[in-house]
Amino acid sequence: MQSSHLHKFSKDPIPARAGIGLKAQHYREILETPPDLGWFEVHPENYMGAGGPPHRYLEAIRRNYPLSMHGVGLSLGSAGPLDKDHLKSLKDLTDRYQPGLVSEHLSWSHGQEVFMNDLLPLFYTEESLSVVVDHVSEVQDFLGCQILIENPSTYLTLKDNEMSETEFLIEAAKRSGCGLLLDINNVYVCARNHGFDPMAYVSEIPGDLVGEIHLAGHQVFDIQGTELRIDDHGSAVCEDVWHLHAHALSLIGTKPMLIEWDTDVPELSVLMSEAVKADRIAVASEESKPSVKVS
Amino acid sequence: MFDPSTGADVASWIEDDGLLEDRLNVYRNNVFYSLTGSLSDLYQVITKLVGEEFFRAAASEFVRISPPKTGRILEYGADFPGFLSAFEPAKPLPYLADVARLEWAWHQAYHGQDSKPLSPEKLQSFPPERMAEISFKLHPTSRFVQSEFPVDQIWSANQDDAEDKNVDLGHGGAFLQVIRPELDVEVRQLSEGAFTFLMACENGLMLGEAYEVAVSREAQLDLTKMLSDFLLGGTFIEATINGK
Repeated sequence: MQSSHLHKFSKDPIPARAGIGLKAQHYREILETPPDLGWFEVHPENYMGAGGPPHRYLEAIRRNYPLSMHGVGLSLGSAGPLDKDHLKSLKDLTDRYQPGLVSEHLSWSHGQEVFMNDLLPLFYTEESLSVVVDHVSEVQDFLGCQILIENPSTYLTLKDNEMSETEFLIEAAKRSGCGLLLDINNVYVCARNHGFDPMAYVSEIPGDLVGEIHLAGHQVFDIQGTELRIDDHGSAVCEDVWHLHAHALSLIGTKPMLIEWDTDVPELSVLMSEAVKADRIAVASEESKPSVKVS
Repeated sequence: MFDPSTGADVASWIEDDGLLEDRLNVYRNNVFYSLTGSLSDLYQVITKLVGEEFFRAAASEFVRISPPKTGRILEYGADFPGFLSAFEPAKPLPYLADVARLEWAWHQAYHGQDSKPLSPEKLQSFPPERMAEISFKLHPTSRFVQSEFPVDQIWSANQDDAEDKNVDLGHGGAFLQVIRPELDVEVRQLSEGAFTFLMACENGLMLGEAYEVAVSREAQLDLTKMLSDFLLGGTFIEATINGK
């Protein structure tokens, strides 16, 4: 137990292939029979304890795989200051585990002294943009690395938006120097909920800003005759989302692709077969590209 | 927003297509489902004792009145045992809050600081005549739970791998230490004297003083055997006399 801090990791880049979210119920199996997988992703919030089995397992798994950290707790869009303790805990983790990618939810919480992640979507206004840019810059300066911010899934439309989501994200990336985490499932869910073309959304995102892709399942509900799709990370990626994924890769190139499955977590083999599917689509996308002509 | 009664101002920010309340509820439900799910993962025995439906209802009420103050989810839920003790629908199960205290202690020990136990050699290095002056530092994962109910039995019987599912509520109270000297969290049943001794050590009393307090609660307390058990069990990580 005492030796755990002695292992120094180097910052292994996340390969442009599939990874999966690391779940506690799969720790032992992954160590006993390491799967053929590009990388793992964790929520750093689950490792903000001082010690114990989570760190011991993560340390052992990190020795065999590149690691990405996807935070859900910084509340980048909230108007008040960032939680310095949280930021410090995050830095302790990035220093210790040297993740190849660090990303964060684009959420805000409007309650005073209450942390209510994801209670409402962010306003896409110049005012909230400057909040996000300041916070992202602060995080990047503090951690000493670039972070990626993710397009959210949304279920309602705010009245006072001054720009589109893609304009907001691209501008935040340009001003802060951050990258984007393109969640294909979220694009699809929003497109269906708000009636826009997901292919058009993806085509608006510059490929070089995208550092990672997320793929997940969602649920379809009927609310008084209106279809509402809700992102729940609790099932397999649906065919339409795979289709959109293939389209996105053809536009932005192959990227690290994460299979997210956080509720009703299945056997590791189910996650692996989703990862294999994502990799197949990436390979097909590469092969279908016109070959470079040497003149 | 979080409390439906404060939703009016929020509603004015949103395009209303006639489904505004349903759309807001998606957000509310997502937040509640995720937080009550985290609480249920932490309070697994409570969930088993009261059932998933009751647990979600109790946890939702807890989330409503004690929402998380930070994004560090591992720290959320410390006040849930206290909430349960005052939660009217849980009154028929008077031991519930103490079982919850045990589960919170387990959670803290699980995620607590790893530390190397005190070696017996260190203890033997002190001159025997000064033993009473020794101050012990307890393992950082150590937590204490005292109850008038046999909460350790209730806890054990509701583990997935439990062999004995029987609990004798008339068995009496429990003096428990929760600790994780290595990888596994242990729930240890202590005698009242041993429990009092460790609590006294934690509060900064020296061995001699702590033993006096403990023996006033348990006249038969065997100091040598107790210390030997604590050493074998990794209870202490440091022993000093006058800070050395």
